[in-house]
Amino acid sequence: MKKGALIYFYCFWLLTFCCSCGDGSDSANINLSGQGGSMARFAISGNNLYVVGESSLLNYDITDPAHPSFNSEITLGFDIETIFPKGNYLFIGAQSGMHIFDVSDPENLVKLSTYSHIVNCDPVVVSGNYAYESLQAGCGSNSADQFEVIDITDPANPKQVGQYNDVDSPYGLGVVNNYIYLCEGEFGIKILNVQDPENIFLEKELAIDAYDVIVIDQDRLLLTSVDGIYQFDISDPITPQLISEIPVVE
Amino acid sequence: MEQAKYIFLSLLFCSCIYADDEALESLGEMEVYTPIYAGEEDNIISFQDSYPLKKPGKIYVYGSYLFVNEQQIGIHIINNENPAELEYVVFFRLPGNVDMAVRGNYLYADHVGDLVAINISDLRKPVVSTRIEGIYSYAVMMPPEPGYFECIDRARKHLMIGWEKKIVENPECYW
Repeated sequence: MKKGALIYFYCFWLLTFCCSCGDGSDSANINLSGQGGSMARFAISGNNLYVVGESSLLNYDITDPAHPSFNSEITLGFDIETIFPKGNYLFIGAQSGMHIFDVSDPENLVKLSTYSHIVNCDPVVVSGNYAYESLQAGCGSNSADQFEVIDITDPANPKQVGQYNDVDSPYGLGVVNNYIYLCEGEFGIKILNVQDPENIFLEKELAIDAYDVIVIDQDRLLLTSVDGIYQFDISDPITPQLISEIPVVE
Repeated sequence: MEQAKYIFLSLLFCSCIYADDEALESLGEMEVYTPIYAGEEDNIISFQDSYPLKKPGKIYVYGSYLFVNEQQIGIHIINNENPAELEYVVFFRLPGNVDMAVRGNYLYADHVGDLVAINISDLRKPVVSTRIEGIYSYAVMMPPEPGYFECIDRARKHLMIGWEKKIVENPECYW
């Protein structure tokens, strides 16, 4: 096997085991579709199912839900990893950056912008006017672990407005109001206060080996880890209380 | 940790270079991880009461149900009506599965590289309504342990559903 292919597989390995976490809620369709994580490759927005493969965005019409039909395919590059729907936009995470698409006309998807960064694994979640990215080193030779806040008020012109570098190995993430739940695998979960993107600070660390999180109804966390599935009550956002779990069977 | 990571990465890249070296041709027979590709029997989606949670992957929430991917094996469906008491409902066996989404009565998921739409209005009587073949191929993963392994056949990687140990002559891949 050639070196390039190995790096490619290594990134896939990272993807499979590490980067998967977030609040995939699509408020426009909350009653129709569910929510996935920040590293999801499937997303439903309006009457369309979007799937990201290795290198492209696939668009299926599900107006007739029993019979999805192929609509279009847009080639994006070889390093596509995640898709996050929000309103009329899709936020697509690639190792080289975040692509923002306008999907208000599903027959004619429009790429608005690409926010480029150093080569990293990068789950992304969106809330309000901000996109939150967890940049995990490992997929690129000059990368560093990092957390970034990007102002997407103008989706055609995303701008970095904050960052937090004191992270160990960020994978997936979820957002609730002004708090970010950043999964760091064996390093636990960091709860970051992002109320002021220019002054992000650590509220608390939890010793939970999680790599994936979904925020349910703004008051619960569903976590997946190598040890099992956990559900936490976050009525008090910085003091999560365990309410149920399904342990992995050894 | 940073240091450990760089050492690990360095080892990884060194390994790649080493694996390209001609000296490896003398490896001979080795028991290594080899890819398992979906066969005819894997084309059938089956349903069972439960399956042990072993390698949870992607998660998805739909109403009071949780969908948990069992990496490359299928999807656990869990009733979360009472969050304090999670309750197994059913397990859908979908070899190669990585991801999913739900809307209304339909579960959309990947199954050996195909996209399937499954009517789940009755979770105990799921019905596949549409299958779109070979929509993508990303279900690639690394072997469970580092070391030599049999390379993944790129032409069939979308059919890959796991790894098994086998005796192989001169395995060419390494991580």
